[in-house]
Amino acid sequence: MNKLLKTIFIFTLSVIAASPALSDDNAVDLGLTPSPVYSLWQNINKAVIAYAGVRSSDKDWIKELGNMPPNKFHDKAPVDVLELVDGFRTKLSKLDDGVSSNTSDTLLEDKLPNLLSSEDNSVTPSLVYLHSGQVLVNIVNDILQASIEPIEISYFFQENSFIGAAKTPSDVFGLVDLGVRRLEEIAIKKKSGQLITNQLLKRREKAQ
Amino acid sequence: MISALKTLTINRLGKWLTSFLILTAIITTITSVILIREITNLNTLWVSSERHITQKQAYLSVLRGSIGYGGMIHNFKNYLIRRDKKYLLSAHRSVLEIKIIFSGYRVLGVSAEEESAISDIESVTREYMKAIIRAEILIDRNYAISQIDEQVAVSDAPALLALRRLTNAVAALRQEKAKVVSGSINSLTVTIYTAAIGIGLLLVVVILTLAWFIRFRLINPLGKLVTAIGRVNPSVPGQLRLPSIGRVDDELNMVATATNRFLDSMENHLSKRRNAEKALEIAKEEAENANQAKSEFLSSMSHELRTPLNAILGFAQLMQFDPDTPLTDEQKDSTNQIIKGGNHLLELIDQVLELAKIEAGKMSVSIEAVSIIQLLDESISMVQTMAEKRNISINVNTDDCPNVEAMADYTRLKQVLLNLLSNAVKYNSDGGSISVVTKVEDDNFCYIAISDTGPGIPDDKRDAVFQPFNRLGHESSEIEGTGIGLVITRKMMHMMNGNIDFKSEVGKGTTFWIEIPLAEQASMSIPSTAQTQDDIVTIKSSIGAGKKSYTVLYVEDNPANLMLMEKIIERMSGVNLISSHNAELGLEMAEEQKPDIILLDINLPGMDGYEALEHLKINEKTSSIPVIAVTAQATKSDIKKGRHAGFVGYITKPIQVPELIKIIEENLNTKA
Repeated sequence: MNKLLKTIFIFTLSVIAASPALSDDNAVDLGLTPSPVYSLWQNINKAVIAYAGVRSSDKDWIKELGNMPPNKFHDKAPVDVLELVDGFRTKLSKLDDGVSSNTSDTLLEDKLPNLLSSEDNSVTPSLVYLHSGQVLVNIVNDILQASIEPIEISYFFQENSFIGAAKTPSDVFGLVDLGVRRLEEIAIKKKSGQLITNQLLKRREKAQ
Repeated sequence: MISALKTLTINRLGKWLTSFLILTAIITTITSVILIREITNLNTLWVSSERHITQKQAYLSVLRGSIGYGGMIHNFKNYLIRRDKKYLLSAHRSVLEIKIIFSGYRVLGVSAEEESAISDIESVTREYMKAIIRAEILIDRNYAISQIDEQVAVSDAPALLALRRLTNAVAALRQEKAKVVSGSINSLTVTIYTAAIGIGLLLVVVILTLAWFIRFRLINPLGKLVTAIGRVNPSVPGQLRLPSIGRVDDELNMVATATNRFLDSMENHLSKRRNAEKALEIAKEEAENANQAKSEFLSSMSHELRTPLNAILGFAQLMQFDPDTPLTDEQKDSTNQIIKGGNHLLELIDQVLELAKIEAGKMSVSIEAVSIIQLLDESISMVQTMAEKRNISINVNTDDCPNVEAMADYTRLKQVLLNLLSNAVKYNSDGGSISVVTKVEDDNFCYIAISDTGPGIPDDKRDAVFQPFNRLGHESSEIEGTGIGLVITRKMMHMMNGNIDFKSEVGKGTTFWIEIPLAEQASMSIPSTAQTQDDIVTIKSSIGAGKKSYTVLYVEDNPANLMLMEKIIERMSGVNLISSHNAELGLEMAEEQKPDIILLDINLPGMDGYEALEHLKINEKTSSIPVIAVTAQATKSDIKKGRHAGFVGYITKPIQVPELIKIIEENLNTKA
């Protein structure tokens, strides 16, 4: 009888323990899919070309830069994309000599700090979007500062439409990779002294 | 259900209860689990709902900033006024943020109202986006502000209105969620109540069933069983059984059945015991009958042995006390020895008979203060002649305890000493010696040691000394003996609270000693039965002095005894003896001749002495004649019986002549 009671007790505990625990999913999921991120990186790549354009008068090089094709990647996850985005931001920051804002800033970060903090460090397309949006703002800001001639920045914020299926993290990774490669090319150009630096720009600004 | 309960057994109830309890436990567990899950779900619902609403409110707050002051509209207007693309970039940034906020908002789930408001805001945002793009182009082309205003004018009101609607929708949502949670709590409360009542009812049913069972199927039958067991009476065969209780498979009925089996076994045992008791009773009756027969045999033996002894001792006494023909000294010694030996034989007969009594546990002793010196003198004198014949000297040393008295039966202790002394003579060497030593031990015991110089007793025969009819190899020797003397001796010593033991050395001799409790020092008075010749002469003289003739009728069937009586009566002048050999003739003679005294034997052929006495008492002619019993029936009970029957005197055989003469004289003198 005691054995029976013990069995019942253990069974009861097991059933109670098996009941669903409270969900504590704090991952940043704002409902954004890889597609809008992809669209964002299309605009960022446009901005990178523009960035090169305002700092170099080498039209061929800029043309080559614009013709660089994206590489094909497979099985990339949002976390891989985010890592590459951060790499992009680091390179951009080095390029503009620290003009662009902090590399870790994201959109809405100062407005929704609690909402955007993630306890489990999971990376979602939304998080990649927040980082990427900030990248776009930063690079457009650089363009604005570097350009002497008026440049239409709204062009970089237009929404793009896609043909075919929805985009995947691998597709996004390809565009980010393209942006990184373009920045690397710009960095090479900068090293060779063929790029207009911020100091020069400032002197020009003063001269005007 | 009721019939099932009525046939419920303890075993089945146990199973039912176990099942009920398990069922109750399972129901309780499942109910608890369900309730816990419900509560968990409710909590999840509430927390989730709260979180969503909180998030939505946070989104709304951010949205206001992104749309209004510091946001899209504000930056757009600043750009128009200041024409600094920094504001334009901020406006674009705000648009991006608005887009993200709405996306996140939708993840939380939206109502139709919310969706409508969001769509309106998005629509306004799109209008602004178009206006921003258009304004940038126009400003870059240096259009006048008035021209630009005309082309990019967008109304803020729809967006602000939609924002308010969205805020209200969130507030309404909170109220709705609160209502849902409240409803769930109410529903849960009802469920908990229902479960509690259901489980409670189930337990009530179980408890009531158990109570019913205990009352009607356990306590009542147990009460009946106890009552039935209380009525069991082993002495009444019919009441050694329990009634059937309940059904056949009922445990209590099984108990009753098992008890009945036990009672059957007990009854069987009791029956055997009763039979055994009956057999024992029969055996006891038989033993008592046998004992009675033995007593009668002993009485008969006593009578038969005393009768010839009566003649021996009687005639010896006549020879000794005959004044007409006085005996020489040597003759006197001889008759003395005859009388002493006869008396001893008489005592031995008594003792042999008493051994039987001892064995039957019927022997009694009369403890009194007796003189050890006197007993020794008497005993030694009795063996002196026998010792002298074999040239054995007897040395007595009583210096250590002169005039000591012991608490003992006089006759028994004398018999003990005589037995030890005669053994010391019989088993001594010719020309040997006997040493008798007395001393006091521990102030409480008298120690008497009798040592001989005989061959001694080997150690391997030591244990056989006190065994009856064991003469240690002297069975075929010339030494006379029965082999029971030491057995009687030891038994008597024990009965007198004394002890006996011996030590022996082969070739040197044996010492037997006895220990007997001492009496308090006091003057001893041993009644002496010895009669002197002068007493007899005196009696004879007193009868002769009356000059009257008396007639004594003696009824006796034994010729020797009759002759002895004739010889005794002849010595009494003036007394005539008439005799009869049976009672019938004696009665006739008594009626016809009216004697002065009748001497009546009891054990007579035909009518016995008691019947004859009755006839004499009934008959007026003989009723006044004193009747004296002269009989060999000499036990105490015989004497008591005789006195009770009406004999004026009771003389036991062998008769003591002086005693007989004395009692005759007393009765004749009464006549005179």
